[in-house]
Amino acid sequence: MNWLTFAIFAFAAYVLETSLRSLFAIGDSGVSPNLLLILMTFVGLMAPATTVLWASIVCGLLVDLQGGATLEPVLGPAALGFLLAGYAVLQLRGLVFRESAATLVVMTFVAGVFAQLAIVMIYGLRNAAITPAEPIPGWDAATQLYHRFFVLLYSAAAAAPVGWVLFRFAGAFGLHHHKARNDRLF
Amino acid sequence: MTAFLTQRRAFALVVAVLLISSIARNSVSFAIASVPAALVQGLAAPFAWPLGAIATALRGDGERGVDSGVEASVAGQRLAEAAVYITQLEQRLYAAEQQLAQLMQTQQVSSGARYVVARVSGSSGDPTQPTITIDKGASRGIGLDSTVVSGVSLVGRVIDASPASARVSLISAKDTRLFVWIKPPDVLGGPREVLEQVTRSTAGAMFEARIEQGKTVRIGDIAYLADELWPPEAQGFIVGRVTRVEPAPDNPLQFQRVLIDPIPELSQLRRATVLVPVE
Repeated sequence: MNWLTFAIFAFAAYVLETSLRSLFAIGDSGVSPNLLLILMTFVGLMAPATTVLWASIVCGLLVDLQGGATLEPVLGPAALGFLLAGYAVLQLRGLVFRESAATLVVMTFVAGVFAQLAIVMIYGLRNAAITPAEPIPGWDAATQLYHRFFVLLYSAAAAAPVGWVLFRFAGAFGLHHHKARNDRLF
Repeated sequence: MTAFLTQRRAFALVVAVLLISSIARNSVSFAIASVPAALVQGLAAPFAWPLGAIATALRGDGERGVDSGVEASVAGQRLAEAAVYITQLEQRLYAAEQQLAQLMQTQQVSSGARYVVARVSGSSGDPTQPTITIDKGASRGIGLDSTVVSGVSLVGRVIDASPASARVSLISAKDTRLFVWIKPPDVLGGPREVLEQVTRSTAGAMFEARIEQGKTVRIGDIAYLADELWPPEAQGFIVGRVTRVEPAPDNPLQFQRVLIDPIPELSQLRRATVLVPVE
């Protein structure tokens, strides 16, 4: 994969998410599409296994840097959640027709389920007394899951138009002719 | 030769760091994220600002308030965390103010006294009534009961003053009883203080105090003089440092025995300062 192209698209997704969140959010709910999740799923469908895992971590880190439940960003919850999602995409992509926007929509939702569950679990662990981290005031896993479910739905819906753009640039990513001959991780 | 940092090892290292950052204390997690966050936000700012302005203009909102349930929850979490941080800062500020007040009291009282620095020319060696002799006396205004200190540590009182020398009774005398404030040595110890009377100890330390179990005293705490029987200029000087805290041998459930030792070795002093009250 062309990491420069990926970096540009990841950076663009980060900028668009943070700056246009208020424009694309549904009402005042704060629900907006997760463009980095869509990008991660796209890479997950097309790239070699190792590349997918690294790209998942990068996308997750960019999500972490946007801030979460704590006052300041914490690196890890989204990075690890996206890593799990990337691994899930790797396991499932052999069952689907990869170069399809419909596939991207479905896989975005599926991968997002893994990612969001992992993120909520990690923040829940952080909030629990069993880790060194200080409790997060007002943290409620149920509220978080509720909110993130709708983010997932919106992201899956947004994956159609975003996927159409990404597939046009598959050549720039260096993914157009990838044949998954060997899906070993390392 | 295979490289040490293979891709597999690098991956494992990154995952390990992320795991640690995910569950570490806020100070550690925030520190790990601070540099990349500043870097990415700095790179994104030139692009994010105009896009954000466009989004605001298109959406038509003015100042977007928090009026959704989820946003309120998130904002509430952040406010609560900020409130906890502010409370911790307030506690530290209170402790710092206490310590400053203590220092200022010492200085204010001492500013009503003149300092006469003297050399220790002799000592008695008597364990029950230990004394030292200094080379300044009545000709310098030193009189009976003048307080003698060494730095900020209390040494004793003048019991005999001739024109050119004076004899000082050390606080390590057998029948010494002093009221002291026992406080933490710095602001990190929190806002706590205990007023107790210390007596000469037979348990291997200079002084000991018998304190109720509910009162918090820790090793390293400082004992400051707070005894009305001493002159005003002596108040606040350090009697010693807590070296041991243990259950009282006779009543371990209700009382604790606190052992205190002077900070300078009184028997090895070479210089001392006499506080002469200014009329």
